[in-house]
Amino acid sequence: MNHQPFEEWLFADEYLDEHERQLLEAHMRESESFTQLSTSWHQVKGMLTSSPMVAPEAGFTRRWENRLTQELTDRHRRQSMWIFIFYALGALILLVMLASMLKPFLQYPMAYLLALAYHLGIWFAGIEMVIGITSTIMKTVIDLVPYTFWFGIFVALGSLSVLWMVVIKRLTSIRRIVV
Amino acid sequence: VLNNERLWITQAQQGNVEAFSQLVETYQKPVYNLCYRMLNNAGDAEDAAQETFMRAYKSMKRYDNARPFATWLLSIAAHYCIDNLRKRRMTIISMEEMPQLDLPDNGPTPEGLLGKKEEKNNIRELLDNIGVVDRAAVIMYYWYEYSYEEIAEVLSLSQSAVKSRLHRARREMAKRWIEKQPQTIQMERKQHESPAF
Repeated sequence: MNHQPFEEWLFADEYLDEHERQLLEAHMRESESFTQLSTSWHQVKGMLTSSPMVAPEAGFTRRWENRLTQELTDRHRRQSMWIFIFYALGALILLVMLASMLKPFLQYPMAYLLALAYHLGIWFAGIEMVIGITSTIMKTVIDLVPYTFWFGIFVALGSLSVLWMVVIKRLTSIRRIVV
Repeated sequence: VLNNERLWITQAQQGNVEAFSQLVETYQKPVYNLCYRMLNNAGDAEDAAQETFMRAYKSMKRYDNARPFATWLLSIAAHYCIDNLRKRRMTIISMEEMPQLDLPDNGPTPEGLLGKKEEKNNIRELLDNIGVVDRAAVIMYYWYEYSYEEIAEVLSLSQSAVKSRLHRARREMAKRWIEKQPQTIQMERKQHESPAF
């Protein structure tokens, strides 16, 4: 027997008009299996609608807060670990680069030390020579120019400095700045 | 309550943990109930409900204030449980061998306790024998009294899909109940001799 349209009505859980209701009842009288299905469904529906909501055990919110704290701590720990790994890798790369640069030195240390001593000697000799030339020029210039000239230069430079400061002060005074 | 809820949501969106704790306190029961009915196990339900609130907390900034908060929260819980059940299906471990944690009943009499436990087991078995998405739809329809539209929104389905899933689930549960208790149904039918609709 075909239950299809009646099953639709039974399980749709919607309002049936009088005609549909009569047809359904008639079908139930004819079919025992359909009546069994209907009774079964109404028992199931009764159980579903009468079953209360289940609540969690007391302290659910506190447990959630603890879990959140734990999760945030774990996340912080993970971030710290990643940062450490990042810096450690960076340091390792630098170390490898440095090692590759130092490799020739490590192979022939004496030759490099001698070369270094030789270059230092050249630099010191160069610096000594520059200092000697500069002091000779200074001595010659000081001997050539009279003391009164130096005095005049110092006075002129001092006066110009004072004039410069006065001008700056005047120019930046509040009265001169127009808003 | 609604004003408080709005305030808590706004504060939680700004990262206020205390405000979100208030939301957890308010919605723990509906979220837990959904997880419990879906997973049929108190321990798993606790984990799933905790995870639901954790996910909600992390996604608070993405929450659309125009949408009801409960619907959004239940949507997270339902999807989490559905994924969980699908993953569980793939495992080799038989569910029959796993210990079932029972919740403590609050019924005062031994008869009441026995009846409640039996009914709880019946519901558990009925729900366990329907598809996971159908199960979520049934739970929302009968425990939360959600409309087809709301269920569709929570489960990301069309309304017609919800109707058809509910229809199928009802038929499967009714058939399962006949298989489980054929004598009882026969007896009841003969006693009443009228359909109960």
